[in-house]
Amino acid sequence: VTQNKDLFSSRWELILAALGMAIGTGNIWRFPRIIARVGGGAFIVPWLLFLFIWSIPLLLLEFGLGRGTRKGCVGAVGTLIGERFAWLGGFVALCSTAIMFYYSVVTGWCLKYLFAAVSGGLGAINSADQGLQYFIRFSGSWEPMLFHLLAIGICSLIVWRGISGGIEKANKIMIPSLLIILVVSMWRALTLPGAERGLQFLFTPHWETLLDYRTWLEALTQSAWSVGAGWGLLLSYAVYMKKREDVTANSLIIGMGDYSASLLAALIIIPTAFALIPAALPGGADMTVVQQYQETVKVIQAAPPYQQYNPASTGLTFVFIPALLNSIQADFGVVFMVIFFLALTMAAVSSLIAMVELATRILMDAGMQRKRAILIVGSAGFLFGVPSALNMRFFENQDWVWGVGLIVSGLFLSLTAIKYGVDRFRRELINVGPGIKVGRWFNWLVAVALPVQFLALIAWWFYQTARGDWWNPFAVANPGTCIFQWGVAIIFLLIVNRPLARRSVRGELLSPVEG
Amino acid sequence: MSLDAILMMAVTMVLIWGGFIAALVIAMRQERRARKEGAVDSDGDS
Repeated sequence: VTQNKDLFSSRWELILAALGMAIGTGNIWRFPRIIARVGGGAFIVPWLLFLFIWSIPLLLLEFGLGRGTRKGCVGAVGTLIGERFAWLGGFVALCSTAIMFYYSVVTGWCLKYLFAAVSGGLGAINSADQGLQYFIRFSGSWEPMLFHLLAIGICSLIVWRGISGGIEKANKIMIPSLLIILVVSMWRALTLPGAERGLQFLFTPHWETLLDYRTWLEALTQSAWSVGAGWGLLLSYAVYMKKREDVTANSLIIGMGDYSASLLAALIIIPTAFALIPAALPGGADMTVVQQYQETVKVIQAAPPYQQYNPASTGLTFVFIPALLNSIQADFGVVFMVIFFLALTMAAVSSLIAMVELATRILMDAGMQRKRAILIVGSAGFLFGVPSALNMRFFENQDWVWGVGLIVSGLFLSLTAIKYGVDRFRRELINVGPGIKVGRWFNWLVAVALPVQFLALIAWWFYQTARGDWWNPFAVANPGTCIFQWGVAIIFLLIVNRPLARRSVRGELLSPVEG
Repeated sequence: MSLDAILMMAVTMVLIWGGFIAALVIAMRQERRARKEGAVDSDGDS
C-alpha cells in the first residue's frame, strides 16, 4: 500500500474546490429565472427544504464514499458493496462525463462572450433579437469548436498539474474572485434606479404557489442541479481529503455556499433587468413588473430564429444579457458585461475542472498514470463535445438526457448506501473523527426520502415531455431518448463491469483507508 | 417595497447567508481546536 501525497493541502482548499464544483452557470442564470417564474419569495421555502433532504444527504454520501475508499466512483461503489455492483458507480461517472462533453461547449461560449465583451464585439447588440442573431451567427460558425477546444484544453492542463499544483491553485484564485465579483455586481445592481421594483418582484411571497406541486418539483430540480450533489464530482475530490475532517460541516458549507451564490446572482440579474426593461421594451414603463418580465421572456422566445434554433436555457444568457446591459449607460454597460461574463466563465471553468478530474480519477483507479489519463480524457472530451458544439439540437438532447440522468445517479448512490447498510455507512464512513455527528435521521433520508424524491422527479420530467411519440429514441427531449441512451450506457457498463471493477477495486490503494 | 417583500428578503438573507457564515465559523473553530490539540498531522491519516 502506497501513500498518496497529493492530497488537498488543507480543509479550506478542499472547500474552495468543492464550491468551484458546485457553483456553475446554473446558479448565475438558472436560479434567477426560476425564482422569478415560480412563486417569488415563497419559492425559498421548498428550495431550502430540498437542500436538507436531497442535496446535503447526497453530499454526505459522496464524502463518505470518496474518503472511505480513496477511489473514484467505480472503485468506490465496487469496494463498498462488491465488484458486481461497480456498474452503479460506472453510471454515475458516465453521466457526469457525458455532461462534461457538452459543458465544455458551454464553457467555450462563456469564453467567447468574455473575449467579445472585452473587445467591444457585443456593443452592437441592443435588442433580444439582435442578441439572438449574434448567437446564431456564432453557433453556426467554426468558433464554438475552437472555444470548446480552448475550454477543455485549459481545464485539462489544470488537472494535469494535479491536486495541489493545479486544481487547488486554480480554485484558490477563481472562487474568491468570483464571490467578490458577485458581491460588487450586486451592490451596483441594487443601486441602479428602479432596482427596488426587481426586489419587490423577487421577494414578494406568493404563498398560493406552495399549493402547486410544480413549485416543489422546480425547487427540488433547482437544488439537485445547482448543488451538484449525487454527480460523483465531490466523491472524486473527497478521495484527496484528509481523514479526520468533519464532512458534515463541509457539506453545510458547500450547500449553503452554493445557495449563497444563487441568491447573489438573483440579486444581480432581477434588479438589473427591472431597472433596464422599461428602456429595453417599447412601452415597458407602463407595464407592471410581472408583465415586464414575462414580456421580455416572450420577446426572446417568440422570435422565429429562437423557435428554429432554441439555444436551450443556458443559451438565453447569451441572448438576453448583452442586450440588457447595452441599454445601460455606454461605458458602464461594457464594464458590467465584462464582469458578468468573467464571473460566468470562472463558474463554468471551476465546474468543468471537477468533471475532468472525475473522469481522470476513474482511469487512474484502473491503473493509468495521471498524465496519460488526462491526455485520454482531454482528447475524448474534445472529440465527443464536437457534435454539441456544431449542432444545437444534439446539444439540447444531451443536456436533457444526462441532466435528468443525474437524478438516476443520485438514486444509485443512495442504493449503494442502502446495500451497504445506511446506519453502518453513517457510523463507519461519515461519523469519523471529531466534529458534528450525523444522527439517525440520515438513515431515513437516504433509505426513504431520496428514492421517493427520485420517483417524483423522474415521473414529473417524463410526464412533462411525454407526447404522442414519447417512445421515440431519436427525439430531442422525451422519455424514449432517455431510456434508450441510459439503456445503452447500462448495457455497456454491465459488459465491461468485471474487468473494470477488478482493476478499479483491486488496484493499488492510493492511501490507506485506516491509518 | 411592500412589508411582506422586505420581511421575506430579510428572512432569506439571514437563513442563506447567515447559514453559510455560521457553517464557516464552525469549521474555523474546529480547525483552531484541531491545531491546538495537534490532532491533524501532515497527511491527516493518523
